[in-house]
Amino acid sequence: MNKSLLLDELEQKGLLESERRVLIEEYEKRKPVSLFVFLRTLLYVSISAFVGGVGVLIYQNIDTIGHSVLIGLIALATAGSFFYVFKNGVGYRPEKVEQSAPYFDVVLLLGCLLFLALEGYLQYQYELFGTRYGLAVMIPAIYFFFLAYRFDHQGVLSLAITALASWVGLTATPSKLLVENDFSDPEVIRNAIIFGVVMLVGSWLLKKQGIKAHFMYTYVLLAGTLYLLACLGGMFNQERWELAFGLLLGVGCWYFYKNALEEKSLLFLLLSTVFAYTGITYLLFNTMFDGLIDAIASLYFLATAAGIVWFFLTYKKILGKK
Amino acid sequence: MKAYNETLLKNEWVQKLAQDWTQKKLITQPQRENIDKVYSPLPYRPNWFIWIGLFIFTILGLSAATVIFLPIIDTQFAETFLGPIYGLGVLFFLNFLIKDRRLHFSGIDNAMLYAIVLSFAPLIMQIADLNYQAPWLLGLAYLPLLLFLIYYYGEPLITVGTFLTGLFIVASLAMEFVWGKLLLPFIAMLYAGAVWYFVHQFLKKEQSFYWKTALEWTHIAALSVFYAAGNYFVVREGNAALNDLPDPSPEVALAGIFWLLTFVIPLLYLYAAIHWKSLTFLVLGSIALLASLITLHYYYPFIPGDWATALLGLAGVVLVVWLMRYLKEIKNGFIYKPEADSELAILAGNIIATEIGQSATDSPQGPKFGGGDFGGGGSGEGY
Repeated sequence: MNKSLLLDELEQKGLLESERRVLIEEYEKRKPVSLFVFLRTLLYVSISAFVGGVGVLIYQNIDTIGHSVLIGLIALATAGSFFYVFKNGVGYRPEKVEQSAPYFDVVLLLGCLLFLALEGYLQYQYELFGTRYGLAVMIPAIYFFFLAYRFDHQGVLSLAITALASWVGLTATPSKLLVENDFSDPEVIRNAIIFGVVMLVGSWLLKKQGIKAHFMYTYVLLAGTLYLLACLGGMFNQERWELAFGLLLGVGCWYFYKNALEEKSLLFLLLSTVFAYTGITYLLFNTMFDGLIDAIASLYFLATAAGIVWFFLTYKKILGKK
Repeated sequence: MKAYNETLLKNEWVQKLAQDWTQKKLITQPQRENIDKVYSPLPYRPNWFIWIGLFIFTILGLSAATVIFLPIIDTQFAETFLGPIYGLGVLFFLNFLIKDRRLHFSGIDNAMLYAIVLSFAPLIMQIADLNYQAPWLLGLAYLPLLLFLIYYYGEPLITVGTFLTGLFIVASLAMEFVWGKLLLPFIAMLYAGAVWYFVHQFLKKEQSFYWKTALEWTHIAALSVFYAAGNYFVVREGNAALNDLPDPSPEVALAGIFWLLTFVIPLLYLYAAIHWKSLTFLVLGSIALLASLITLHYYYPFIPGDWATALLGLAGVVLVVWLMRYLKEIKNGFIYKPEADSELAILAGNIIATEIGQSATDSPQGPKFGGGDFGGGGSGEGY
């Protein structure tokens, strides 16, 4: 049905006066295509390409004349970005702050990324931090936490969390979560669980103080997922402790669920359901249903899957959410 | 006969428009409420994350249900027909759910439709009786079922799959002849172009409403194939692969034409984007142009790759910033205006930052950020 036929219909049903109809028809004819998402994506892709390219170029051109020019330019760009940010940023307030300067969030992110590239280079070339590698990741972590809170930037906060995670030997980058963390290694599991708990408790305390309550989302997303994965890893690999890990997983899922309600986040609802289902199913099959015949096992999956589908269909009623 | 209630789909469309008009203050809130009252009920369409959950668990349930049947499959007859019988069962259950729960592409129905397509595989393989001689026969034997499902449900992924099945059949047939093999890129382009033209024309018609999503997906698929089939890299490497030629791939005949196509088609798409005010063409044209530049760089690396990446990125940043400024007011039907953040946008912002952070520090030895290879588990070299 085309829009002008619909407008006829609305007019006939008395839902629309004819003056408004004319306005709407005019509007629909001239309605512009919004390039917001497209240009934003293109911007992030471009920045990624630029920073990635520059990051490699630094190392390839070491010992040439162009090299120091390049470093100088990057240092200048980094300083310029931070200068812009500190000059134009809105003052700190504990609640959510909207920056009014144009491209503010992008400039801040770019500054942080260039800072990382520069720092990595200084360490490589001059061994700025010697073998104190921990210090080399701790400095950006602290600086980024400061920037994230100072200017209210969740992207920079995720950078800070990833930096802090790498300080304890973990990877929090979502695409590398399962590739670079070896969740069969007890030490990785232990660190991830401690890291997750510290981050989540810390963010919860800050939220209670009313400091950047919306940052909770980023903490739960990055540190929380790491924690849940570590619990599953523990269950699968350390048989003696599987009940303990199951309990930790249960607490984590409950926390995700609680945040799903508070942040109105359906992603958290999804994650908590999937992790809890995996954990419970694993425990059941590993302890009680051991050696069960296929037919009954498949009945279990059939019934539980149907149950969860039903849960997703009716969660709004259950959670009393509109 | 259609599976989904078209009135519900229309209601959804009208309510969406009314919402937009209210935001633009073209109608009043009470007017909108009246419209919503008249145009209800709506089909059930979940949020994206819930969609994923519904999809995963429907697949899990369906797979578990097949396992129950496994012990019965012991005769040739059962092997061939149990699948389709199961599929028919799912089909009836699906139609019931669509009516009862007003589902429309909710994850549940999508998963069930894919299961139905798969469940007919044993029977169709039997019919096509290939012995792996001509795999395209399998595609051909599948077509009636696929076309029926497209007509009845209009599910987008199945529609795109059918389009690709058609491409596979056409290409396989062409390969049987010497001239067909030679003209393969053009045949694929002709096929994609014809499908695109049909979709483009059909979308203008009133009746296309029920299949709108499917048609829009096919539109994208057809344009992508059209570009890829003429792309120099695809032609040259594809030619080498099809004829088992050694690496590096040799130059192809009509190279000039393919180079021309590689660059003319993206520009054509970008022109179409401006001409028709089409976001689809804009996105496809941009991706295609980027792919073409990469193709050019692959065969003629006139500057080192990292320089190319950095400079292209810089050019991209400058271009985007300029466009953001330029499009503050409506220009030629396009606008750049900040939109309210959805959860998906916040999520993307968080994830993208960490991903770029990783790429920024892929240094040979530096403190590899986000790589987790320093600090040795919180102890060791840390401090």
